[in-house]
Amino acid sequence: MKIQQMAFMLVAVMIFFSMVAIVYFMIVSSKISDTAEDLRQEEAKELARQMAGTPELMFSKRSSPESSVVDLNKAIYLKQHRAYQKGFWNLDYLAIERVYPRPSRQNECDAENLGTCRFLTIINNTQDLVGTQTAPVAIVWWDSTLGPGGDYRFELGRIHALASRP
Amino acid sequence: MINYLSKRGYEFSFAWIFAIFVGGVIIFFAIYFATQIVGTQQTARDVSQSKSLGILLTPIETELEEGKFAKIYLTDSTKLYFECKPPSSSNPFGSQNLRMSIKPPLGQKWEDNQAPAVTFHNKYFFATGEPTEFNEIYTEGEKNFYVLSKPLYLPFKIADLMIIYSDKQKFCFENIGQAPPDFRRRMNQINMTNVKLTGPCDPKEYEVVCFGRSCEISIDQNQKKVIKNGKNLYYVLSSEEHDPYAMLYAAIFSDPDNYDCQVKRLMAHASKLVDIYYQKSNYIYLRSATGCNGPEIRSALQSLNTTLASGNILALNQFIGNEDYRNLKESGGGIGCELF
Repeated sequence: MKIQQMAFMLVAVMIFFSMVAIVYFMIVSSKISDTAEDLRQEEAKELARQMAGTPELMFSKRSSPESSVVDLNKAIYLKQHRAYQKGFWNLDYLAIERVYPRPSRQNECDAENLGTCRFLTIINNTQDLVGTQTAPVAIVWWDSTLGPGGDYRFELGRIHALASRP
Repeated sequence: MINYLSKRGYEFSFAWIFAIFVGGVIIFFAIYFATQIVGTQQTARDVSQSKSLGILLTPIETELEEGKFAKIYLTDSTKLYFECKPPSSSNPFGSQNLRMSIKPPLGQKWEDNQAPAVTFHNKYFFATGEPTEFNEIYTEGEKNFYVLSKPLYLPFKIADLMIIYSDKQKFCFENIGQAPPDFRRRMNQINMTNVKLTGPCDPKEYEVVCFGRSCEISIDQNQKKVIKNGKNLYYVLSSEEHDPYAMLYAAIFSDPDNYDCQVKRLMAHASKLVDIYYQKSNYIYLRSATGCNGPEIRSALQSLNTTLASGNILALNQFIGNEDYRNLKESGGGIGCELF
């Protein structure tokens, strides 16, 4: 009888500790997930802010000393390089949006429609864009209709960036 | 008469034996799981701190500035582990792994927990320290780490070189008077912590840097190399419009093997950028009424790409002195024709 009681007691103690452990691990794992998500958003924010200064996108020759400019021509060719699509910046989504002057169409940019397009999506590895961070940037592209033989046209734009899931 | 057959004594019942056994097992598992949980928590903390440090280093990168110097303050003693992986077919830019180990509290033994590293493909860390058995080097800091970020231009920006050292590492320039005046001026301007710019230098306290003579870190300006641990670290003096000594700083403050690996990564990165500039140059040339970005620019870009593909930094040094490089620096010439 005593042994039976003891066995029941042991089972009860094990169940209690198991439940405590489950609750503890749930709290810990949700805390780790929150930290990972915070870090992911922080990373995207910093990258979006800094993106205009990266060698792949910057146009340095006629930038102001205070801030660099995103070169749309380079960005178009960057999109074609597979090496940049996976993991180079640790981003799942990277796009440049032309804001002002307002583009006449809402389409994706390519080498032939730079005068009218709105978006240039460089990296698009996800459908879930929750957590995308945005930063304003100056953008520039080479316009053959400007000046006697073509010149750079400066505009306002935005960079959208979403860091990869850990 | 003494009764030798007395049966008096303490008898262990089954219940006692069972309780002691089960109690022992429970205590063993409790200690085991507590140790495991503490270890896991430390690993999680180290990984999240490594990631935070990586994020923190992003704003230290330059945009158009000549460089940035920053101090990173940490609340506890920390070891930073750096591993550089050279470029390969599956990893075209190579990679930079960063791992952090924070000293545990309450006098626990500071063991290397092998927390997973955070990987970067677009960052270049130049650090010096002790090698580990896993092809890493580590540097230990009391509370502070210092970061000097310098952009490398060839003649367009390739990347930021991030020179990292801890508050336990000190450097001293024995005879900076022998250095080019421009280098002296720039070093004075940066005003790096734990870097003494005037001799004499005590080798017990400092890692000694010398121009033109033999010491711990010797700089041979004629051959454009730094001699460290018996190894030659060749550098290039990049575009004069920006700080040309970016690679020299990196060679002085870096472990030789780490420097070699990072140079390979930089050359692979530069090669990819050349491809992009080549396409852009072609785009402008085909649409320009005045012949912007003519064939000489694309020829110079091809020549640069061939040099970079060789992976030979001495060949790159020669390229910087030739006409192709000058053409590239002018990048098409004239307003409206700039390439980068």
